[in-house]
Amino acid sequence: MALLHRVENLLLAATLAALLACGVTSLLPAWAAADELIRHLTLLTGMLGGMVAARDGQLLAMGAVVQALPHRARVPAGLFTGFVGTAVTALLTLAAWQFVREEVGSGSTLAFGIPRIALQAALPLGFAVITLRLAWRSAAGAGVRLGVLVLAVAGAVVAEHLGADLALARVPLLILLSIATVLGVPIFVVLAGIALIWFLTAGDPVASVPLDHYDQVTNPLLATLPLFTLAGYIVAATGAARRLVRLLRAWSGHLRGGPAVVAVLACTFFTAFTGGSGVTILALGGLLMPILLNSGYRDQSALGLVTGAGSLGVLFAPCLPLILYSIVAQVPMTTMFLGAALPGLLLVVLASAWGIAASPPVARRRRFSWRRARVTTWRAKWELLLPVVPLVLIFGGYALPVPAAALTAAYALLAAAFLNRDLPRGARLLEVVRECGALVGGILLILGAAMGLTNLLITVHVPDRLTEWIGATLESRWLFLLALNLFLLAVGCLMDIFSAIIVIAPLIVPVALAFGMDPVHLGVIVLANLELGYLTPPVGLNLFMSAARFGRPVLTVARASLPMLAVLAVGLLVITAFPQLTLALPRWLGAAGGG
Amino acid sequence: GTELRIATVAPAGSSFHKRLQGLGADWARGPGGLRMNIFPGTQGGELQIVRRMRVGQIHGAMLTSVGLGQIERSVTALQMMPLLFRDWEDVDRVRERLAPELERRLFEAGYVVLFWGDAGWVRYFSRTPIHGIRDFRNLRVYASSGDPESVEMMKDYYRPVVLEPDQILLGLRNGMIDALPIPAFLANFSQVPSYAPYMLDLPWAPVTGALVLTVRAWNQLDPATQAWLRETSLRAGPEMRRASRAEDEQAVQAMRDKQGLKVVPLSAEAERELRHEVGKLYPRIRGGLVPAPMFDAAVDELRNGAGTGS
Ligand code: NA
Ligand code: NA
Repeated sequence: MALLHRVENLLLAATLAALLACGVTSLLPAWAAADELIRHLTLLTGMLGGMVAARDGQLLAMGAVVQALPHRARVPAGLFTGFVGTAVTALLTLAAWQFVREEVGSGSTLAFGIPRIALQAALPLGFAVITLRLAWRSAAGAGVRLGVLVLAVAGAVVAEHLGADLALARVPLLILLSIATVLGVPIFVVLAGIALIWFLTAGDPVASVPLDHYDQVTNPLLATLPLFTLAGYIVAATGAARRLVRLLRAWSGHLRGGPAVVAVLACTFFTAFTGGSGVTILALGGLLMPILLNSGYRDQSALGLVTGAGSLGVLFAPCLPLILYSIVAQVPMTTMFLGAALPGLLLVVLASAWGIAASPPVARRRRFSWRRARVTTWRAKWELLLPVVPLVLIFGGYALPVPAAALTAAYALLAAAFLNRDLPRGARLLEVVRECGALVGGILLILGAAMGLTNLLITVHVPDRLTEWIGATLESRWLFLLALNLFLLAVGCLMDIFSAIIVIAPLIVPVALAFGMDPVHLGVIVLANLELGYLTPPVGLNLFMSAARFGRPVLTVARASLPMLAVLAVGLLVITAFPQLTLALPRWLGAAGGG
Repeated sequence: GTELRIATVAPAGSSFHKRLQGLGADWARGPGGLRMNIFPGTQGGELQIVRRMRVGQIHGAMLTSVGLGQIERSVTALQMMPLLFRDWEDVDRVRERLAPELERRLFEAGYVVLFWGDAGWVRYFSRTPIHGIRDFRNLRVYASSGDPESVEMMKDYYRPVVLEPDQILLGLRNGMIDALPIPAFLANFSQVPSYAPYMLDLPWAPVTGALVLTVRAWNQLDPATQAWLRETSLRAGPEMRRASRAEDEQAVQAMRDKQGLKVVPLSAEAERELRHEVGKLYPRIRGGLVPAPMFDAAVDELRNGAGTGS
């Protein structure tokens, strides 16, 4: 077994290495065809990482309830969640098999003549292994484990066969799933489970759930997630954190809240150009957490700060959600960029203010020393160049986000190995890569499953019905704004930011126009709401990322993020109540109108 | 009554969506009260929609030849033939000639064609004006990742840069690409002129497509309903084509008025030269991008049409 695990870890590391290599070479025009291969390597990384996370018990779950249970209740609770998890993943395996079976006929190939199906097969295979592992972890004895596995698989097969005949069982099944959620079944099981149960009992093909998983995970930008995460893990595993802490102390040790402000600015900056997919926490979290803790911040404050600041960049150009909204809502892009700038700044200022308030007092008056500042800056020079790499590549027009992310990871690796000479070696390096891969795998499982759930909402027309209702029922503009904010918060609770924009914006823009709202103002409200959505369970991307990165229960992270959530909510109120804040800059610079 | 889920990549509120709604109202008036459940722009790109039809989640879709080409390669003969079609008459003639065979093949692949449509011309939009073949040479031009063969081919004319459709604007903004071939309605929608304000006034290739149902969904309908769908399609097809052709011109006008688009005309001499150069591609397209028999049938139809004069 131990040998098998080693082989699995090596395979995961090899896949990440291949992803890195393909990402770097895709910079060359002759290798542009590698794009499809890169996307499927992301899929492979995700499934292998997911398998490893399931093996090592690192799949993210909501449940903090289990820890609160009396000891004798834990075994049956584990058995119950284990059974539910095994049954759902068994059904997911079956669905993935059906999806891939339909794809065989299409006979398409990726780059270099590799048949697409060869990598698509990772989907049912990976889910099958995860099924086995959830059964394995459900109990201690071999007999019980086998019993759980057999019962769960049989249940899944029978349910799939019955389909719409189970219509009456929909509600009881969903209730069972929600009990399991509270007791700590993995989050991706919850998200996929809702979609699977609903589609199954409606007589719809369950294969659409893995189909959405596949489409989400092979989305062209998603390869940036494992790559930036890898860069973050490499830097965090070296002496960079220590050097950066010294640097920060030298420059801002005499100022109260210096580290907090730097953390907020760094996260904002990074999110603005990586696209707001929550990857900021994975890339920077490993550095910022120790910096904040070493600077004397309380654990809760540091956690809340890093988790919350990860979404602040969404309102700054060229963040992807901003661009996406301007296209979907048909607002000129420059107007949108200008309109979002001041509201974005407001949120940054508010978050920084909270960070300063949560700061420990400066212990002893420390005088600023140019010499110390110079020396610490020089020592940290290779780390300081790290964010410059993707920035120059992307804005200089040399590369798109994926090759830029690959080059950033490659730079982090090379800088640690040859410039700073503090890259961990051998087994320790492999362990860093395993951790990174398991994290990415867990996150990709959630992202894929969330897409299945999003598609369920779309298929049963939840967003359009709700918008219709809002438009038809509410009369005053203020009521509309209030309802809009509540609605968007709910959306943010269930959907990721990209699907939310694509699905919601075309629906609410006409309604908002009818209420006399400016579409740019609306866009900023939408985006600010979705920023909050990163921090609200059950689908709060930042909560998941942070919980995974720092190994905390999701609910602990959610609690730590409450102050940040409150700060953002205050900002949102101001932004909503004062359209001038949004519209002043575009009007002043004459970019308003047109489009 | 029965419900059919129909997807399109066109977004909610777009003219394509509205015309589908109109057709849906026609469907509902027929026997059995068939309901069209429309998903405008919410079920992903064309490839994703095809996948959803394969597993049976979606029953039909309005697809362009890019999506249809994933089902049956021969459909590319209606679209992926640069500068072969000079006007809509050419397109209509070739389509009428090829349609029976294409519909037969699509049926074998599991899809019923209700009617054929189109969505304007693909034209070149660029940062700097293009006056002839020479101006192409040093341009970095967007190429679709789903289409390595045409990327290979276009290397003789410019520097193709492979991007995902949703990264086009990013590429234009940060200067990775200087030009892109794109239909006018889409350029207008995505605000392409704000980065690439010049449009070469030469219809490069038509965007064609069809409304298809899966055979699986089709067979679930009773004969009366099937007949009703055929009947409504007889009207809907020509109507949609007429409307989208008018819209193609309106989109260009709208971009001129609101987004500062400059239309760059091509001199007769420059156009001849361009057609001559691009003509060298046809032997490679034939049997490569487009299956040879379909390519030959299309060219044959175009030549005959030119002979009889129109
Ligand atoms: Na969310
Ligand atoms: Na949320």
